[in-house]
Amino acid sequence: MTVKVLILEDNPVARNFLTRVVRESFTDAMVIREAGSLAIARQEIAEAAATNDPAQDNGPFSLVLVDLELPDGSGTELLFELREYPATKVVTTLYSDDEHLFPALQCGADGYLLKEDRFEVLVEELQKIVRGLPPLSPAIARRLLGHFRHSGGPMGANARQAGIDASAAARASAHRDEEYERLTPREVEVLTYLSKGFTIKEIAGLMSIKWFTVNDHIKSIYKKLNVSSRAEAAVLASKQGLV
Amino acid sequence: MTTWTDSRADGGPLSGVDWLIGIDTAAERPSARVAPPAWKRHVVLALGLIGLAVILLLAWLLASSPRIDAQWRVGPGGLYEMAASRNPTLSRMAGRSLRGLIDAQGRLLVADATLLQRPLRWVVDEDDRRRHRAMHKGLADAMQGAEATLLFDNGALLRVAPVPRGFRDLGGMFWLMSLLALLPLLIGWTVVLTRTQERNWLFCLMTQAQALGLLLIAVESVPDIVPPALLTMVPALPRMMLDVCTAAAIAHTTAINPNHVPGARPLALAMWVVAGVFMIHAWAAAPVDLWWSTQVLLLGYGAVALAVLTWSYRKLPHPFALVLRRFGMLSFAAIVALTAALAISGAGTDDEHNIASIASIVWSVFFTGLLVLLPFLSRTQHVLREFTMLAGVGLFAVAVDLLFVTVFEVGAFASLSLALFAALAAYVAVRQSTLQRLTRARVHTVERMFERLYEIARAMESHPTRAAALVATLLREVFEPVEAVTTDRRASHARVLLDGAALLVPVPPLTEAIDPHMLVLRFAGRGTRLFTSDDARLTDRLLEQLRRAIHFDRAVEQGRMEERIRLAQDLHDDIGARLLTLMYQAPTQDMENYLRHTLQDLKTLTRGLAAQGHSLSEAAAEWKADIAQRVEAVPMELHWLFEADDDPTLGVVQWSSLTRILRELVSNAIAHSMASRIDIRVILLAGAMTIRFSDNGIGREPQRWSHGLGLGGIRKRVKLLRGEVEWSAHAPHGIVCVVTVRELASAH
Repeated sequence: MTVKVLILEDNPVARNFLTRVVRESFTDAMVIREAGSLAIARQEIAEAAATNDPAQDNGPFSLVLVDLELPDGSGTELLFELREYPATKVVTTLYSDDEHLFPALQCGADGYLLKEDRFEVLVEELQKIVRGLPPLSPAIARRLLGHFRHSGGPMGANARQAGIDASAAARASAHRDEEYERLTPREVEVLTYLSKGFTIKEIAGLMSIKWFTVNDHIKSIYKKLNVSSRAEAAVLASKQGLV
Repeated sequence: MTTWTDSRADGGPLSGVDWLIGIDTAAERPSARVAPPAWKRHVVLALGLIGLAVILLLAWLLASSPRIDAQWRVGPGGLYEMAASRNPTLSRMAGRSLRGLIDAQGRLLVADATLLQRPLRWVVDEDDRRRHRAMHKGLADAMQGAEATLLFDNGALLRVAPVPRGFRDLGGMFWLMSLLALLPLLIGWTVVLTRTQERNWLFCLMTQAQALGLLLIAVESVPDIVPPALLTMVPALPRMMLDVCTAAAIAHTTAINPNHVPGARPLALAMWVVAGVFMIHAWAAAPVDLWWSTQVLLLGYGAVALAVLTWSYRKLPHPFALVLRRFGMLSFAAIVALTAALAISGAGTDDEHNIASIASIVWSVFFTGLLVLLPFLSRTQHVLREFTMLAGVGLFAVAVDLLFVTVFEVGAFASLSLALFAALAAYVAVRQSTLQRLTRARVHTVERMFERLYEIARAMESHPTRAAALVATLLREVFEPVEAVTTDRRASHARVLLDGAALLVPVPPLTEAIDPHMLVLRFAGRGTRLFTSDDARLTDRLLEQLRRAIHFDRAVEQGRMEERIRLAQDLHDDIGARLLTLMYQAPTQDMENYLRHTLQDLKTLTRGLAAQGHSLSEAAAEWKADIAQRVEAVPMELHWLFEADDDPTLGVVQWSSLTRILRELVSNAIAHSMASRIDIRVILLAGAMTIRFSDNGIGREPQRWSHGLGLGGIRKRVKLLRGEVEWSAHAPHGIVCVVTVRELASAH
């Protein structure tokens, strides 16, 4: 089966480079579409959806690489629009700080690649993301911890702060459960270690579990972030004037 | 006048939380400016009208009392000399001295001007006093007939019909003093009406006594050869008794205000028993040394009051006690001086007597003024100070005048000029130092205060959690209170409470870290000064200035931050994108790596510019993750150790320097060392940071290394952190690099 990939990147040299990375990463036959702006990307996606015929190498994209800084807007806009789109969405950027990356992850990105990394590193990272093993920098882990702590801990931290009585807090917390999935204690532990700069191997050692179990936790955390972020992403998007 | 009554109702010993309760009861009153109930105002008004009626009645009595229609002056030999008269018979005698009046029995009543001119209260000698009274009574009786016979020094006998005085001839002094008497009368009653309590009654008693005393001075001041008949009905005794009453009340008050001293009741009782016994004795036995014993008793009361105040202040340093003692000392000194002056001039000349009687009037006015101003102490301290100073200088002038006249026998005019000159000189000389002594002028000069204000504003920004404590520190430095505590009272402006013992300060939310709260400062100047309304205003202004300073700093900081972020964004977006393009197109691996490092440095730089601040633990986590990722690809083993006894926020320079030092060390190891393992220890202990980097590579004799871009960069950054860097060989092979920053905080 042919894999369809969309690369949204305004710099042609970088676009070329990323195309090489994508080709190197996967052995499958693939169709790579390139877009230099948000408008073209939207057009490509619309066209792909209109001619949904896998037999003719057509149909929806299964991998989308999105640059954050584009001439006609931010890649976050497209990520928000594609939040229900079934493709793996990867942010490619020069910005490695959590202020830029976290909103993108909240808008549904499955991972991120730092464009200045070496070719081999990028290939490896991209493969990991597609396999469901996205990178998690300490800063982003910290943001995630904060995110889950505020959107409904076991006792509903917000409710407790607001001074609501216990039963009301419990009700509020139960209500929240429907909207947000909570992190398991193991996931919180993994996230805490990540935020302190431990590598996955070290975390596996510290928690006496296999390294791929750590990876499973990370995958699960990402999934929960995507689920729990939807409501917040809407708020975020409306704040940024995206919707 | 409300400040006087703002004080605690119970008057028990102030200690611990107890006094805060006092503040709360005081603060519960909605505002000191709220008008008292209507009936109280009406009572005060009625009292004022009654006082006025009494004065008018007195004036009418005086105006209708008969007298000889002539103006007199004191001539040589202590006799009255006629100046002028509207009576044609009498006007012929202008310039002649009057020897006396012939009464109905044909006896000669000598009119001794020296004696008659003196206020009876301040006649020292009891014989003089009796003579004064007898002479006074005789003269008054002589006026009662249809005609009075006057004997002049040339032997001429004139029969003159006494005529009513009329309002016009009462003299300005009479009106002035009698209106002045209204003041203590009204203030005394107002204080009692505002809050009925023991010490306010005592205050009322003092003021009423003073009011009566002033009224008597007013009557005495009516100029005439024959003193108003009214005075014969009011002997000297009451004025002395009024003074004794006042003194006893003062001594009593000091025992209960501002602090209740132990044994206040028995002490007060003893004061009044002594006063009572003295009065009965004086009335019944009419002792020869009445004046002396009165003065001694008054001074005794004064001494007791001062001693009690000192004791009271030692027990609890209430500044009110100190202020009262200060004014008490002044008054005590004044009355000692007055007593001494009168005692010296007892058998002196006319001039001396004149001056002595003026001194006694000055004393009365000074004392009344002091008394009347006391309730307004916390608002009008500076008025009171100036007043005291003026009165003191006035008394001084009189004393000097007296000295010149008695000791140097200088003429009246010359002595007066000399005395005035000396008094002025003394005033100028002592004013500044006295003012400073009285006010305990603030340690802070204006410059110093501003400096501190801005220092505190900075400190509040850099230590937001300590903001509230810093505000308290500023106020402590300005006012030096014995203590500063928070309370949950509400007020929109700083207010003086408890007669100036405390200052209620609303602290606004100057920063996010400060919840609006109320501070109560108690006892200014370490218990030596009262808070005044000026202090309250100063506090409001200080806090306003502090708020402005913080806002200004924030605006500047925000401007800087915005500028930095814009700069960072431009660098990152423009230069970053170009470097990235160059990197992708690099012809060689070395070139690509070089460009990658440059790009990473640029990112560190721009991130450092844009970031607000990194905590050390967060930065360390990122260093670790970053290095781990980098060495994983080599591959190389990383042994990382991070230990810190504190988690300070790193400044921009610190963060980017440390980040780049570590990156450079790792880059060197990756590029040149061929090591299989690196050890990194980042340790912060008691503010000193140590980074120990070692590898097991092929590097040798680091001292001989040529300092290229990498090593030079590390040296430069370590220097920027005011630290030291040292390379050495690592056994069995490899190198060690130790970076030490002794004071991480000060490099900020």
